[in-house]
Amino acid sequence: MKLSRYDYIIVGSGAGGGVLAFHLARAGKRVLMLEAGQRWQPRDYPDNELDASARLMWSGGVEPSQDASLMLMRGRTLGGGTVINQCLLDRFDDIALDDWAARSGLDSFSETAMGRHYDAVEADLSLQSIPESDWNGNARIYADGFDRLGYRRAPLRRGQSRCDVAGGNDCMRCLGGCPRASKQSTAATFLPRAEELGLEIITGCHIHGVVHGSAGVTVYGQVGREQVQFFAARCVLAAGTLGSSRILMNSGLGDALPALGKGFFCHPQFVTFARYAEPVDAHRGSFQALKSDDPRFRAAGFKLENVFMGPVAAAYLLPGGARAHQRLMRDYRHLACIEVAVRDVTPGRLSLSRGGQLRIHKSLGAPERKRAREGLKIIRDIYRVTGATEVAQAPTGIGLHLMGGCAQGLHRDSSVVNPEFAVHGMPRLHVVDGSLFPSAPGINPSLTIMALAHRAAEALLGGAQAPAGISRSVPADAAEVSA
Amino acid sequence: MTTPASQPIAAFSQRHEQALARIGDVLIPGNGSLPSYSESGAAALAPRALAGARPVDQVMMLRLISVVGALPRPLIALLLLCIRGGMRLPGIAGAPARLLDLALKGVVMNTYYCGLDRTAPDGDSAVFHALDFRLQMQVDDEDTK
Repeated sequence: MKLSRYDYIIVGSGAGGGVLAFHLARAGKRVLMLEAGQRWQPRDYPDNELDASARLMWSGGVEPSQDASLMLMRGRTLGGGTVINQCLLDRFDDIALDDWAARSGLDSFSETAMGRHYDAVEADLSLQSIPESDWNGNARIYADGFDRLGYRRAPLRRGQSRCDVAGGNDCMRCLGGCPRASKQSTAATFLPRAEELGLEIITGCHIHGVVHGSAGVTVYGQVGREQVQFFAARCVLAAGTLGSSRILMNSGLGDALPALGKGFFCHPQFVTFARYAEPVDAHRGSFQALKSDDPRFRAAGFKLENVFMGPVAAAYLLPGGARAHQRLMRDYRHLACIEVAVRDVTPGRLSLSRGGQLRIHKSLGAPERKRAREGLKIIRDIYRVTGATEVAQAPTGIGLHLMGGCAQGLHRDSSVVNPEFAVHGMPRLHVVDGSLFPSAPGINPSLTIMALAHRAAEALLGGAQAPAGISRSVPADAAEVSA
Repeated sequence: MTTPASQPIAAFSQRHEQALARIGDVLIPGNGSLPSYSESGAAALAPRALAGARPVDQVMMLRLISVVGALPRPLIALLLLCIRGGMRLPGIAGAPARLLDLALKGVVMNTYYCGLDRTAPDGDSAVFHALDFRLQMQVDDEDTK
């Protein structure tokens, strides 16, 4: 069988793959993107939680860790996680980047070195801070509690262009894809521009593995029931932490890459609801408007999130037996919600079962439990000082920020990907997504994944300016040396 | 452009639907304006909800629904109570309870609170009516260009 040859194959279309595809296509490269999910027109995104879970997420909604203490979610649609997340786009601070630099040995992880890449991706996005005029009742409770207790808060910065919340639109709908194409998912931003520049996309394509050769990389998988193969000079895995790690492990590279699948993090989140006498209407308008901005929280390793969810997710997370649970759900409009998101430090691990199923070994260690307890205490204090009549703690933790597994670094024994974004010892195979993270930053990861994708594009294209801290004078493939 | 189809699982039978409705009625017995699970007809949505699950998980779900749904209602209630208690166990000891909770509570809540029932007098969702829940989203042609 004669295979079409591409300059690049990119597996995955989220924050990493979408941005990288745009920059490679703009440089005139012939690029093929393979995405496991389907392509949607914005107005066709599901308008209910059941279909959004079944059609836009892996495994039909959630994937439990091995001990089921955490329920993980990831997108399976063109645009990946950027379609189903809240598109909260913050830069990392020195606390996060200094830790990365120490772990990876790369001094390119610094606010100064990353600044140029943040600037570049931000220039291609519409970013807006949520104004107080768009707050709903949940945001007002959050702000009131913070102010009364003396904690610092700040407006959230979101990738959005024309939500028209003042006109009555409810952004919670966009957790199942934004029908206005206002949310700055890669499906609404980088991918259409990349397609105009020649990017080819195949959706519904599930990748099993890759074979790295001296002349290029063969990617094999299936579309529907048909087995398929593609060939390119280079392949970039941008399938997310779980996806890219799975593909590398399934390709038989576990023995050659001792750090593969290690260092998995997910910012465990614990939701607490409160009932108020008056309607809160936490589901209306900009349902996330504020964030904690208190250095004490940052130092303690957690943040408090002003958040809410649709009835299905609320019903799953609310505790209690039949009638007590129904009573809380009947008062859905009276519910407020705050969650503590923990900067986890106990690494998890990814592996494959004998049958090839991905296993997620991620337990909550003592540091995570302590951080969660501290955050939950403050949440209860907020609810107390703002007049809640009842507080209900979700019995299950969730993980939305899936990171690590293919850490970037200098050495093969502690990392999978080298400073030029190539897998150690495989100069034509690259990884560009959240799996590169050497540790949990404690900050929403999307913007930094995009910034890393911009930096990766420079590395792959042999850009004029190499990232700070990395001495390089030749393109990535020639620069690769066995670690 | 067509909306991508999500294939409902073919093996979900009338027997599975009845079994799931029995489980659902224990979790959602009905409360004032909220219909019971079986009154809402939500069990019929289960194949659609499970369509995105891995095949191995779909098979396990069907077995679980068949077994649990065949129990007498008091035993179903006791099982669910034990699951809630078992969820508090740390680490791998609590894993079976948490997985059962995800499976049973997950599918019941997903099918009931998604707003796809059409059991209100006006043909709308009786569940959403009871919650007084509606999301507004104005979409113009200009938005999606």
